[in-house]
Amino acid sequence: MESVTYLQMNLIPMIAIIMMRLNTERTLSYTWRNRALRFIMLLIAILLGANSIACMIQGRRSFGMHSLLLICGLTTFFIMEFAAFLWLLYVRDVATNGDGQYGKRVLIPAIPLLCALVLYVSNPFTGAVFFVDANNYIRKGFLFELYAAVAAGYLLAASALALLGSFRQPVQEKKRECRCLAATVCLPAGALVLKVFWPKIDLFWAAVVVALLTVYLNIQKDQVTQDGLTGLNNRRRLDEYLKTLQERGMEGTNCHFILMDVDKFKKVNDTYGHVVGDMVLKMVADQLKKSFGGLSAFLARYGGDEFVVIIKGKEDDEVWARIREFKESVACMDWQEEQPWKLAVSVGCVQYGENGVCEVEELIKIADARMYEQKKGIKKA
Amino acid sequence: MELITHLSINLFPIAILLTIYVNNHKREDRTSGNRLFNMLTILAIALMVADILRYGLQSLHRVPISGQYVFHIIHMLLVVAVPFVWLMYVCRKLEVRNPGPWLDAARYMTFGGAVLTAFLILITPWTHSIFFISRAGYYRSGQLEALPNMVGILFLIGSVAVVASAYSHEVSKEGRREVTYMLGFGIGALCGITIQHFAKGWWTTGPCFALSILFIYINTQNHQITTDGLTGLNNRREFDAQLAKKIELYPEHEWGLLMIDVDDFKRINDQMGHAVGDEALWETADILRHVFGRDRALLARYGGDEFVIIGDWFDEKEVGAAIEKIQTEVEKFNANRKKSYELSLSVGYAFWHEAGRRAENLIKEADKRMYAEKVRKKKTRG
Repeated sequence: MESVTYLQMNLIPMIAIIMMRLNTERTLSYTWRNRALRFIMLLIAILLGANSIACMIQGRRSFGMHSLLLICGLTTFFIMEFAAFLWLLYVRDVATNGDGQYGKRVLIPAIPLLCALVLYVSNPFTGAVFFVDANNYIRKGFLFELYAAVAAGYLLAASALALLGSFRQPVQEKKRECRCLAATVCLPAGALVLKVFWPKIDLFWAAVVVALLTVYLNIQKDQVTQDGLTGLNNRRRLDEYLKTLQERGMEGTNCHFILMDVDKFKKVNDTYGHVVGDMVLKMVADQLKKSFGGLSAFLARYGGDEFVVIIKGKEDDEVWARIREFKESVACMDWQEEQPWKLAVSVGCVQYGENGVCEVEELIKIADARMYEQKKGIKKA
Repeated sequence: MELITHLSINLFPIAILLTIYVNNHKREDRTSGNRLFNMLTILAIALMVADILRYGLQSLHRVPISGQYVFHIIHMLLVVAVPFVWLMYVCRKLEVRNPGPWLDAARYMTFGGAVLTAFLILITPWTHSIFFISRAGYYRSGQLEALPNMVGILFLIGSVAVVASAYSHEVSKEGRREVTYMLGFGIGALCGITIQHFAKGWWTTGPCFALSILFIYINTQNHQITTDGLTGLNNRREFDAQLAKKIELYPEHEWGLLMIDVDDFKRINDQMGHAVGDEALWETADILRHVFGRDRALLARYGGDEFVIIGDWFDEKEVGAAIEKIQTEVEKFNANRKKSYELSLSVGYAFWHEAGRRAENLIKEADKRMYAEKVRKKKTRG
């Protein structure tokens, strides 16, 4: 095939990934995990650049081309391994809800990477992995398969970790995220399979870029649908969810709608300022995740200090037991040093089909009314 | 050989566009702008599929000539259609922001041009004006071969011009940024179609369309993440992120923060309904945008009825001037607009150096001053 075609095949994914990388500056927050993802993007962009250079100069026999090809080849091979290794760390971080503080534990999975590094550094002398022949074409060495095996090993390990994580994560959204990460490896693998049957079409790098794109778009979508402060679903996502619930219908399923409101929240905000108010919201949201996450419930922040929980397929007793447990844990929170009053939440709970009401909006209204009744009762007391 | 070339170049852009389409389709956002965007994505996919198919059929040699005609014609129609839909999308987006009769005029003119070109392409099998298929089953160019590409280029140049002329109407930084992105799209697509037309062996039309669509999609997503839906200012998340960035990168800089609260917002909301309350918030945001939009200030909606602004203020005098500006605008608004409610804002301020260089203190301090101001107002009013 013409080198122009190869060049286009490398250049277009490269532009796409540089675009993504630049975009992450604005949206991805500055955590270890996001920095790792950014770094992977940068690495792949460099790799595609090196690949494009190699495509252009392969077969030319002017001065310096030989060593340039060697450098391009080495960059490609090493970056591939390193990016795969970083990907493993990234996936582990997501799957275990880590914070990037690994220290020396990183060294164990890095052993194959270090071995590969030694191999590549010695490669110009041994020609074990690849070598550049007299006509300036890159040829495979006898250890070429090893390189593919190390990278594939990292990728597969990452997938396995993500799959494991998807069973362990309590919250529904996290489970989905892990499953997506586990499935990401399918795209490059598919490209490799295609290459086996149709050697002329090399789509491996394109598949890698598309996989990264899916990961990135998923993160972006999460941000669109997540509340920034508490990490629960936001109003936008809640509206979408209610709409789909209504469309699908819920006949025969036990579906509970719970509306909650933090009592005296305005007073907290006014007397102690927004910083404390935000902290209280965060604490309540975290407790929500702990208490209801196990029921695979849908959790959302409805407005300022209101939360919505939707639980499907659980009995009345179980739901009420969880609500009681949740209220007790909220009462035990120490949110201020001197604790002028105990935190409390008012709860309104309604079951689908109760009193023959099946409209989602009506249900929410009923839950709202029940919550207010409770609130009034507290105020009187 | 041709088939393999086209497959390897086009499969990647197709995969990108499919990812975007699936991602966008799931969302419940059914505005006409978004529908046009979905259509654009599908048409661009179709363009590349048609491109693959026409060369695939040619290399098979067994397909009747009419079949080849069909795919070449579809491809050419799409080369015109994609820029056309893009132009429509740009017009729709700009119309939402600042409507004008000239946008309608542009739309009708391009519609006429597109229909005429489509007609010429459709009658090509009989006139052989744009291309024809030789007896041996090969593609041969006609006299007007450049027509579809040229019309596409023309549409894209038109869209770039429309966007560029809208740039000067934008008041806020956010608006300008979005217009710049649209400009980027137009230029990217334009480059693609031009390179393919003039350089042999470069099949860039489809891939460049795909890249540009990706560019716009990622940026609109970003826009949704960082702005508040009601007021169009930065939202809380973006404010926190920008603040953290500012603190981390330039801890030595000196700047001030204003915290603004709408007085009696709860009363407006409860007595006159949420619609009026929303309007009050929107008007407040507009006033702030008017005062600070062109400065290097960061405007954000902090919570329900609270707004924050970060700007280069060093002492009480400068902050006083800024607050003065806001209050005069509010008075002007109350005098001119004659709304059912009277807008009044309480403003608190804090300085970065004064707050001991801690973000929590900064907000706390501004909060306190704002609250004091509120209390003072209530007292004077009795």
